[in-house]
Amino acid sequence: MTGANHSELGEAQFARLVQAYGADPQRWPASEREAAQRLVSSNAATQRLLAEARELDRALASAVPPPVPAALERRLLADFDRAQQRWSLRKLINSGAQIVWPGAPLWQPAAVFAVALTFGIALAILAPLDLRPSEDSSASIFALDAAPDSDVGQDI
Amino acid sequence: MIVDPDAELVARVARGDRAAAQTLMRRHLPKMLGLARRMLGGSVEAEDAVQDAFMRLWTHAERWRPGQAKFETWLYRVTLNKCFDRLRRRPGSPLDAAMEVQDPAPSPESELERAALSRQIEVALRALPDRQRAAIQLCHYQECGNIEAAEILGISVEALESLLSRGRRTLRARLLHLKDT
Repeated sequence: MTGANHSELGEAQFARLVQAYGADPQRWPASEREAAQRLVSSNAATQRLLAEARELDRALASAVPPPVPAALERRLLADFDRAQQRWSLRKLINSGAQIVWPGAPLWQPAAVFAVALTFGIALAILAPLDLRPSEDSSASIFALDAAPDSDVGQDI
Repeated sequence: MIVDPDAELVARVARGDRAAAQTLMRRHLPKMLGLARRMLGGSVEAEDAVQDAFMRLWTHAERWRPGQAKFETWLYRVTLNKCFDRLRRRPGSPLDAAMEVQDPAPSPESELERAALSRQIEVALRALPDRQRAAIQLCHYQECGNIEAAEILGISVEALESLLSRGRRTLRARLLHLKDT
């Protein structure tokens, strides 16, 4: 009933066609439309089938859908605006990533950054931290304290 | 290569063109909402399903590749899947939802009669199994061809015809009395 281009259609095939698609030839598969219309013009039994199908078509056509609420249109456009804002942010991140690593997909610079960050944190945790001032560092501080005296009297 | 009347608009939406988004929305929203309303019954849930489908369009437009499938086919498929997701999560029978059909605004007597008839048809449609209802919705109300409708539903044309025949048979039995009114 589908696919092949039938030059002739039997009553049984026509019945299956109308039972599925109804009486409007525009809804029939294009490959069978012409043969079906030829059959109807010469066969009283198919005309009865068509009339029955037309009754149901008419009933279905009388179900009128309510109009689209304007509020829904506004909601959809607001969604579009929000999606665009998010998209702009993503585009900004992407272009930043392209400057750092041209031609690479976003995940590559992101992965390098993540590895570098992890390494930095690990280093900060694991490296020994000695906060006691050494003698040398005290000497540097004294040297810095003394430094302004040497600038006295200079025009800056 | 499929000639797609929406391809250029989708490309513009992907570039962030709001006017293109609005045109695309106005072109498809009435049919998508009609599909969702008949699938789900309640208007609020149908609007949510359509909103989800459009959100997918807004966020995925840049991935759209023209020539593979018609955009409209993809959009109906997304909408229908959103409806099926909601139907799967919903407890109770389709008839429960059918009772939520809303009357149009107050109108003259003939309008009321037409509305009553329309409501009976909506109730009969919503009492059908989900896939039969979807098939009838796509072929009768969305004017989809059989190949496109089968593609949207992810089934063969033969399976589509079977769904349509069974659906129409049930509807005829339920709506037979209407021809006498």
